[in-house]
Amino acid sequence: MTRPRAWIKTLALVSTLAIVVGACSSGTATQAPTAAASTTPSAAAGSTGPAPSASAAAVNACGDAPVTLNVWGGYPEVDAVYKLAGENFKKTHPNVDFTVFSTDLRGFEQKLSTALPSKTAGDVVVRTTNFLSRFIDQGLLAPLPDDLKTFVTGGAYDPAIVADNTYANKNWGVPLFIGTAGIYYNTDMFTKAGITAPPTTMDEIIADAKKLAVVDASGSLVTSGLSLRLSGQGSGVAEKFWILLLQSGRTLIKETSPGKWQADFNGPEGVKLFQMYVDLLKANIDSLNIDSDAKAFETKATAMFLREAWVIPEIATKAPALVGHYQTISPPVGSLVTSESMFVPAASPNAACAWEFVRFLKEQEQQISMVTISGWLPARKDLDLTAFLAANPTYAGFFTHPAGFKLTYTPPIAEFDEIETKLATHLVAAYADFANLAGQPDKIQTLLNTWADETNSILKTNGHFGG
Amino acid sequence: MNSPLAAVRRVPRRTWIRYRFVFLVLAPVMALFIYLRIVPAGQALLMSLFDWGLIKPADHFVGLDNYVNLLSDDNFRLAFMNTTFFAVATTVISVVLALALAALLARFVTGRIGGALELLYFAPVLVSMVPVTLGWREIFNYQHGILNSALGLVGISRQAWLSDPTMALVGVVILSVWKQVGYNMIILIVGMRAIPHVFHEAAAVDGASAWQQFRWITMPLLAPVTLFVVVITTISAYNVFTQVYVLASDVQGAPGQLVRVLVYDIFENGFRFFKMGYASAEAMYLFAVILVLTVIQFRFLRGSAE
Repeated sequence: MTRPRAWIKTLALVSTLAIVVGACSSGTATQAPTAAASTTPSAAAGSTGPAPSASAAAVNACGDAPVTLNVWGGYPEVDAVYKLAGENFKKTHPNVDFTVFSTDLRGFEQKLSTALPSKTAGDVVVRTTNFLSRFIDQGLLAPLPDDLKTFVTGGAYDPAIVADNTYANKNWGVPLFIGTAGIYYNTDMFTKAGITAPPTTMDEIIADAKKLAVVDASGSLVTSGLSLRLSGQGSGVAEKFWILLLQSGRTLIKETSPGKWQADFNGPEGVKLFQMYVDLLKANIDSLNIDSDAKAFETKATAMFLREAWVIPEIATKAPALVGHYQTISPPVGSLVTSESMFVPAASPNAACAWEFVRFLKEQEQQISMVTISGWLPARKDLDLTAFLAANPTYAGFFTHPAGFKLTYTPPIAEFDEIETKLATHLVAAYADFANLAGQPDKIQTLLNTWADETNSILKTNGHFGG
Repeated sequence: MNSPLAAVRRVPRRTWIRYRFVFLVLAPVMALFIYLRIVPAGQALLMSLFDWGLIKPADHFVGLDNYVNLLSDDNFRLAFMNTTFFAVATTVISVVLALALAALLARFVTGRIGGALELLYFAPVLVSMVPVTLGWREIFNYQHGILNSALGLVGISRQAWLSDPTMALVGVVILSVWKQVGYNMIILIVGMRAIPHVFHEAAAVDGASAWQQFRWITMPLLAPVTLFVVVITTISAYNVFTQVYVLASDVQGAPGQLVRVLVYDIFENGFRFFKMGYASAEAMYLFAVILVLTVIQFRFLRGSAE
């Protein structure tokens, strides 16, 4: 045996042993991508030993020793709300300090997927019950204390929000803020187009959009009549499709029996909605080649669009000239509601104090500051918002709804995000091919059926399909 | 009798002490390499045989099911096709362009001007991919991007760089070539300057033109360097992710799902859908493809060098 071959054989043997040893080693540590964090959470300090029970006197919940509570969220615009709440909480709990960590939503989810199993997450984590359901299954999140469970189911929240926070027949998380869609419209553009009243039905929305679109001398669209969500990462494209589908009484997936679901978007209403999208693109009422969404509205590149209430303070900051020249209205029939709720990780060393802060955040004052600072709507329905709405009439579309208006919540199945994201993938590709699909209902039906098959397949794989 | 192996056999036994020192010195680096590279790769291979949801322990062995299911996954097939197109286009264009630039700068444009041009072409390499992508997103903007404005000056109509499926992929190729060409050029320049002048002088004496010298002297002698550049560019191209992720991360006319590539698909399957075993199998496919391409490139280009 020559020396070079001996080297190679030795190296191969060592490498193989390393693979076997490494692969057989126990533990659940994972490689996590780096999240673009705005702040770095500091380690909780001054833990006072075993946490007192939630039913203990509130004054003692945080003890007397210094405590640092870490609040984690996926919406950086809400940081100021947590910080203000922290300052107010400190007035009655001077030993408690706060750090706030937030990053973009998808980065936050990736961060949680490694932080929760490795017990390095914050003391209060704010995210949807649907997303956190897989962590609930692994016992990584603490159940609600009895008093908070009573509060959540006691009428302070809309039944859809309570349902949104129900998983495996139990209530999880205390809802903090909600996202529900409203239609923003530019009142100046409406006046210029001769439209005297905002639309109240989907047909009126489309008819108005056609009057509001503006093209330049070369025929290129410069102002869309209705800015549709046509591109972008994640599931947003499918979510906006879903909201518009709700206006026809259909939904993305429907529950056929308890815990069993089936695709519902490939019926005649789904085909009609998809046709609306491609027809508007073909008629140059909206375009893939101009700005869309909030940016388009703020730069007057669109007359109408559908979004949550967080846009209102953004307009005040980024497009102050637009203030007073736009309004919001409710979608005609219904909307999605997603609730961001407060959870305490099971491994939090400051659980009792964290729950005490959760109790504080749900109070009227913090809920009002949620909407005034970030624009996100407070989760509670039993608040007195008279003064707030009088001072901020642009929020009307989010609080005033037509008779029979219905809120729909996200199905409580972990694979729903995969279903929605994959549907978004297909929609984006199909919108880009609008020229070949406009006026082709059969082709559209075939496409929707194919996507519905994929949705049902994902449901089957996870044991949630009910045909 | 004069082969390298025969020479090794003639080395005295006591010389193994010298080799033992080499082993000792290399051991820490090898240990680190094995721990950071080989062990995770082995773990990924093992993960690919399980249905593992990242959060819960991997206790459901599925064998090769993940590999089989991937072959019928439309997203995987689209990602594979997009990535292959991207890798081939980026590698070919960036290497050919780098060769041309290197040839010009190594022989004809020297001195301070040559140095300044080398720096100019290398500058994109120094900038992080994220701001580069954000900048190019504005350049590609249909309405007010400078690329469409420049095309308009020569009578070409505006292109939907970010909303047309084909143009979106072409846009990512342009961006990536712009970022990569400077790096390839520098390596090729170094290789060209290392070629002894006597070969070119002798060829010139024999009446060879500049192109003939480049084709028959420079290119063959540069083959090992070209091999290196082609291999690393291919590997880097197949691992494309950042520019696609950043372009897709906004609602403003981004290609989004139009430019689905393998690493993005792996990332989405693993960290969005929590299908880590499935994502690991996809990563193994990517590894196998890159390995095969690398072996092919070694055989092809090394053979031409010899």
